[in-house]
Amino acid sequence: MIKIENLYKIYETPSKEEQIALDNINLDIEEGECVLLRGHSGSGKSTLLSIIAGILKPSKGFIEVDGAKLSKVPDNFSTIFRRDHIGNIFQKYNLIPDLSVTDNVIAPLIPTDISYQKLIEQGTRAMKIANIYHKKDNLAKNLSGGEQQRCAIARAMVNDPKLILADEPSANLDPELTQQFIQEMHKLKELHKTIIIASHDDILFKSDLFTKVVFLDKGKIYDIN
Amino acid sequence: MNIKLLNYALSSIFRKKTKNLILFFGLLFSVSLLISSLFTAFSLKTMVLKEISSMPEITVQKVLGGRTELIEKDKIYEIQQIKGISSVKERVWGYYYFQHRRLNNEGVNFTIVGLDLYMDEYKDSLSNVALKYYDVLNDGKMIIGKEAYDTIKKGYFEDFFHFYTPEGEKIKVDVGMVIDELESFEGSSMMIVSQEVAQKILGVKDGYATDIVVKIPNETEIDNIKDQIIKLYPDSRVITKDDIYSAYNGMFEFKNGFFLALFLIYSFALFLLIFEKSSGLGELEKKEIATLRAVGWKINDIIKVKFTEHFILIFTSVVSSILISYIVVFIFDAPIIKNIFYSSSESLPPFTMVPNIEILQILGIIAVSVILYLALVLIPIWRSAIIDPSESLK
Repeated sequence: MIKIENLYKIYETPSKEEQIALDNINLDIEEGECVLLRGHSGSGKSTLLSIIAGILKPSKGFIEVDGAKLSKVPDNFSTIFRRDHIGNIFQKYNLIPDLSVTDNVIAPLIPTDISYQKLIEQGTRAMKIANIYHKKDNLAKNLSGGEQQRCAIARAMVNDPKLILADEPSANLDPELTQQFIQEMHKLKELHKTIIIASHDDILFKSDLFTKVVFLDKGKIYDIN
Repeated sequence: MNIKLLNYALSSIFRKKTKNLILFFGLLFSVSLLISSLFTAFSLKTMVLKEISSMPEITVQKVLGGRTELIEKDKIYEIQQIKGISSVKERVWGYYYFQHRRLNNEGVNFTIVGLDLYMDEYKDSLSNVALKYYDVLNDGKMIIGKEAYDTIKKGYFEDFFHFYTPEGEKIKVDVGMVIDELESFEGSSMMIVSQEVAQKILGVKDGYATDIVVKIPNETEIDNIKDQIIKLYPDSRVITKDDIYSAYNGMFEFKNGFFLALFLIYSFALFLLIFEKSSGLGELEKKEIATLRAVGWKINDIIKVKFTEHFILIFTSVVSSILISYIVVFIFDAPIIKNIFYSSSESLPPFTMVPNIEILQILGIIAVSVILYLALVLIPIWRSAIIDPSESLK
């Protein structure tokens, strides 16, 4: 599903110094796997997730996601690829506060040629999976923290992606809501989705959700379990 | 354009309704101010130039010590001998000052015109009036413009009006006809009487006239004939139609200075609004753009939505401004603005604006407003859209 070889991401600081965010990353992830990227803040896990999502381009190296060589394609292609094949769950959910739950969930597919009716059908299915359908007409800004997260999960599911990425999904959740999130991810795992979660949360680490844990530090993988 | 993107743009306008309403009304005010002024100026100019176009080619006045005097009618016969002239006639006209406490003691000047049958020495519209209502004039009654009539009614006159000659003699003239067909600002202040009555009111002695007008069929002869009249009567001022055009144009050129000032205010207001938008998108808008990019919208999709959203906003405000300006100027008669453009040493009764629009000027304003606004508003949106959206993943 995901093949990463000799991948580097180097940033240039304002003082023209090079800062290595990812250093020679090599990683293979099979379809249906559930992977935890674990590391401290600044270890490079969010950068790696952004490169897998096609949001960032690597400085060097190779990355292939579901057959698409993201390290070599133009920005527009990776955007469309992300829209059609990847579901993103952001740390702060990043919902559009004045839009309803339904409108937030279907937002990724608005620029596509899918008919409005089909769009609503896909949105409904995603909202039901994420258990937020009963709030479909509520404005996102009026949702509780847990509801906002379920709305964000539904949005990530609306395009029925093979790959789901989540960056620090439990950073704003209490332990109870984190457990709920784990349950939601179990449901997606059962749907045979490939899931990659970047987190340093011990509750997630200790859960039975993951098939693989990748330990990162200073931009390098130092262990894979 | 994808209908779903259009829906998104529309919903976006309503979602940010407070901000957009402020922007809409700000634009509406500044664009309306400019367009109302354009409508007023152009309408006045058209009315004036239309009046001038049917005037005689040459007007001869007598000047003594730089002041205009009454002219001897005898001069008509000598001027008539000049080749190239089709007719020469005397005119009796002038201003009559009327002040009344019911008008808050603010005086108005009526234009008194002495008119006899077959007189085409003023302009076409007046010649038509002379022909149509000759019986009224022949009975010693007056034909009065609608606005002038409304003014004398405020001074308790209805069926007649009392004039006082320069010698203090009171002359009662019955109102024979109130007309609305002289659509110019001058016509609205006009009182038309027979030449005999006009002479009495204005104190013009027998054998004298206000001026003499000369009709010349061949326009290329005008300057030559002008020179001959000056040679014949060195104490005369000979005014051609072109001179009147130039004088009025000068007046409107001067008004253009006011226009320029207005345009600068408008540009400044527009600039402030745009600056407010371009100096930085709000955090919410930036985050929305980053989120949409992160979930798979192309830069192009975001520009399309934002272009549509802002195009609807600026276009509706400019079109509404045009409608409001039209109503203010041509239905409510351009209050305030008309006085700025039409100020004269002679105060005249009110007059009605006639719809005249210079389409190219209006299209120019629409184009400048819409293009400038969109260009400057879309730049920060584009800048925000091209930034790596990974920040929103955190």
